[in-house]
Amino acid sequence: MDNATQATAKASPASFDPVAVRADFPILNESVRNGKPLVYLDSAATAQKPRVVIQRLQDYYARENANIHRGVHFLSEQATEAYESVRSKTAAFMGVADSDEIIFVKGATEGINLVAHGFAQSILKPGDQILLTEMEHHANIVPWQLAAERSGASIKVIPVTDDGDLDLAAFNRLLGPKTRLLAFTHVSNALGSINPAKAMIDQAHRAGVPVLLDGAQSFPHMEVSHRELDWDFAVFSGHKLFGPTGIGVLHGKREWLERFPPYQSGGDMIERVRFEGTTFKSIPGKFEAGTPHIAGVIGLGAAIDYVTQLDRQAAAEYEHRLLELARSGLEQSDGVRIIGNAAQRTGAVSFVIGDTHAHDIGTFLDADGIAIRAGHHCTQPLLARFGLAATARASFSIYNNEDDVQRLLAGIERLKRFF
Amino acid sequence: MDDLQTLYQAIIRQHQKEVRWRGCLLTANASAEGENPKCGDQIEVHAQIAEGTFIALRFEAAGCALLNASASIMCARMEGQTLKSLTQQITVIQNLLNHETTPDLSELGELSALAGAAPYPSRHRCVLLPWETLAKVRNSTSEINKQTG
Repeated sequence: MDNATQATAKASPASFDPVAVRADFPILNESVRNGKPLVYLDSAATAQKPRVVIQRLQDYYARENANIHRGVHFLSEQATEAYESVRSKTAAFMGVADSDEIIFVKGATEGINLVAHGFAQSILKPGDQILLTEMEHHANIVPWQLAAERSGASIKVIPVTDDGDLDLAAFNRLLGPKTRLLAFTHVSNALGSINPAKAMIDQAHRAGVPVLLDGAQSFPHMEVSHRELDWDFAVFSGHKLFGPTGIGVLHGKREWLERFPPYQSGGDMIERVRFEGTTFKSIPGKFEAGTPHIAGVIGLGAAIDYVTQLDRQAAAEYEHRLLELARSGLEQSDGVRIIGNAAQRTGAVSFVIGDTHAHDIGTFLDADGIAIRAGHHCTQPLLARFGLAATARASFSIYNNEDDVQRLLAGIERLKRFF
Repeated sequence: MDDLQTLYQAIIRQHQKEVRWRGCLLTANASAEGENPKCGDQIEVHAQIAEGTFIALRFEAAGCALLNASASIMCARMEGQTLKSLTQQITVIQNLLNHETTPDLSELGELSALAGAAPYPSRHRCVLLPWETLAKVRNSTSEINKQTG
């Protein structure tokens, strides 16, 4: 595993019991497509939910539902407390000292949009540069293209090597006096490559450049801490961390967030409204207009509780074993080509099979109950760099097991005979 | 495997590999590109159009078996047909995919093979994209008004 994971491993690990963990996820008992037991290998798209998260959402709606921050009645006070306690919990989970710096958003995508909006409005000037990487998800490309259009800034791109690592020599060259922000993904959703976040952030900071870390694919697989990495902004999505859809987190350093104008406006984000003018709350309220996704936040809190009670180092090692088992089976299979061979990797493996299109691979495996992702994984520039329009991607989580891997590999052998 | 055998039945496999309709068309007077934003599949359809009729059709595609087969079936079926008849053909395919028509081989011919995708809503776009791209080709010309019959 990478240094980040090792450095923050718990001192006294509890054991990781994959059988018990799997039993926490009721959907894994489901059958699909005419009674085929589900093999879920699409956790990089969205993770399944443990019973505790599902139950927490049900309890909230059944017994606790109320709006927050504005009622004086019992349920509203309880809901407000539950909501705000997740803010502190999330700060602790991310290694953030000041929980006011935690902004609840719809997901990683909205978090990046909020920062891009702030940069376009308050920071970027014509001639400035935003530094991205070739392996970014579209969510960490398109908001910056719009910000660049609005501000007259331009985008520079750190290329990816044949192995699916970032070209760090190129990073060194591209990080220059005009760079106003480095925004990069911690883990590639398409290739599973783990980028050297600490070294890159440190280098950017030495050049006086703030950094946005897209943690959508890293928080679910490893301990990621602001205390260690010192990013200026980080985002992740709740639904990839076993939580509900529609909720995510942006952490931003106070000095940056305070420079940004509101991203959306409405109720709950104001101090005083007059038709002559309005004053806004300080962070985090300034960025949480309207009734937020209260249930989502509360469900996210349950998901964070679930994750943090695991021995995360042991869980990461378990997942890594499954990933490597799958990779070695794919490598040994004639006609299968793995895309990406990064030195450090987690979560996902992308592959192609002869001239069989990824969609046909996905549909064939689906008929066997095996759920993978087929397509460009919202990383068209990355796949274009490898001369591809689409790959098949199997992605792994703590609830998968060796049987899942074997069924994938057996399905691929059947597929090769079929096409 | 029954659904899979239906989805990838012989007509589809045959058309997926059929080369007859592939490539550029020197006599083309209209072309259009189509892309499936979900998966990045791309197709370009070239047509020679005269007197409100598709005189010749070719396609170039980077995509899955269904996209390629559907495009090949489309070219085979629509060459020599009127521009106006395309709308009805697309409706027939949409109905097949939505289970609103029972496939009738005698009437629909090879089109009925496309019904195999009906149980897979995520694949409907693969089947429809060539036809929608041909509709773009048609709409880019003024020939549609010259139809004689």
